[in-house]
Amino acid sequence: MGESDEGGLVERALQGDTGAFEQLVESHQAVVYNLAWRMLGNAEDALDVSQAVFTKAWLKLATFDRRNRLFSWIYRIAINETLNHRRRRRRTEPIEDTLPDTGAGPHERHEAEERSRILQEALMELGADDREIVVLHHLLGFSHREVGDLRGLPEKTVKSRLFTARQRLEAGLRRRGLGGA
Amino acid sequence: MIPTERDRALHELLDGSATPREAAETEAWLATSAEGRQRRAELEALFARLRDAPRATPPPQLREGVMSAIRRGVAPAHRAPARPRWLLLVPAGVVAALLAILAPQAWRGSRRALPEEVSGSIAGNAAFARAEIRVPGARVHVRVRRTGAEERVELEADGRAPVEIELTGPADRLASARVRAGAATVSHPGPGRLVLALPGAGSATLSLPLAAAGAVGVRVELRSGGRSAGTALPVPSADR
Repeated sequence: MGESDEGGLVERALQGDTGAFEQLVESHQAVVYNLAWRMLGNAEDALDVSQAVFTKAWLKLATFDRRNRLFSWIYRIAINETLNHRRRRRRTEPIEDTLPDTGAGPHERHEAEERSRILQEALMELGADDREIVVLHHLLGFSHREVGDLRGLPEKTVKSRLFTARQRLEAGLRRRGLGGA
Repeated sequence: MIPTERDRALHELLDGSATPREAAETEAWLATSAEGRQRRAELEALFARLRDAPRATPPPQLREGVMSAIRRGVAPAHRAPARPRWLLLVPAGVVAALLAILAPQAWRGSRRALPEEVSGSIAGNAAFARAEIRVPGARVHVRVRRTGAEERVELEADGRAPVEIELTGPADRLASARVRAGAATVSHPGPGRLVLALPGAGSATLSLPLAAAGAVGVRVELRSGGRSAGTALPVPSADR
């Protein structure tokens, strides 16, 4: 979706057009949901948080400064909601992976889910800042510059933090028997 | 063990953030170092794991839940209306004072009415709901959602004090509840009553069967330090 299309949808949503807002939800829900899922390690919590994010976005849309990118604004709501949710819920639960259907057989699928579970466990061991930056760059595909924009950090700092975070992640994977080539 | 700076250079090479000159230097080093090549293979495996990690498809309930809440009138997205011209004549301090008096009333009026003794709030739509029940010194978070033919009630105590959480409701529903209690002890003091005792922080999940139609909701009561508060929980609808 282009920025001008998005601007038009925001304008219509501000006039009370819920259909326009629904298109904005469609457009951004995958990133918000995956961010929450990986940050919280739990699909149900990710659903709760994602719903809260978009409901809050609707409530506060009139305060969105349209000189900025809509996603950056939604992202700030998402990360705040995610961290608040995590503070409220101290326990963690095993991740419930919903792997896309790749046509793989049950054995391959089981192995993929197991690898994903172990990766999630290792991610959950990282501090929230490290986890966020790894999720944004490696799992959600944001460039160093985009991560920097979202987090308010210089690109150089993003690279440096990613290096440290990957080292910690690698150590966690090794402890679980998933290190090395 | 390769030096940290070499390791960093390998990370940057694989992450695509090395400059052409840095990349050439690292490649030249790799050509002469078996240890370096071994390390590159390890890091390639790490990057591949991250690259291949599954991305979840948002469940349809996400959009449906949001749109359902909005269409039920959570609030309009409209811009704050401009201040009427006549109001420009009223000093800002007077407006602020009026708002300070009136706004809390409007806020209270917009909340769902709760029984008197409840110190907490319910938020959510017909498909899921959250509640927070508080008494002085203790708090429990409650989440209710429909999963298949069951109503799932999650309870989480904040652990500041030992608590008892009592659920009351239709005897048949509570008698057939599946309870995942964790550190909580469970008792059934009578028909239609189920009590969870938590010595500190902890959580429990109850799965209650839902009747095909017209299921009656349960009530949750928190007791701690001689004080109690509670609320009736809505039954999640089948539309998600």
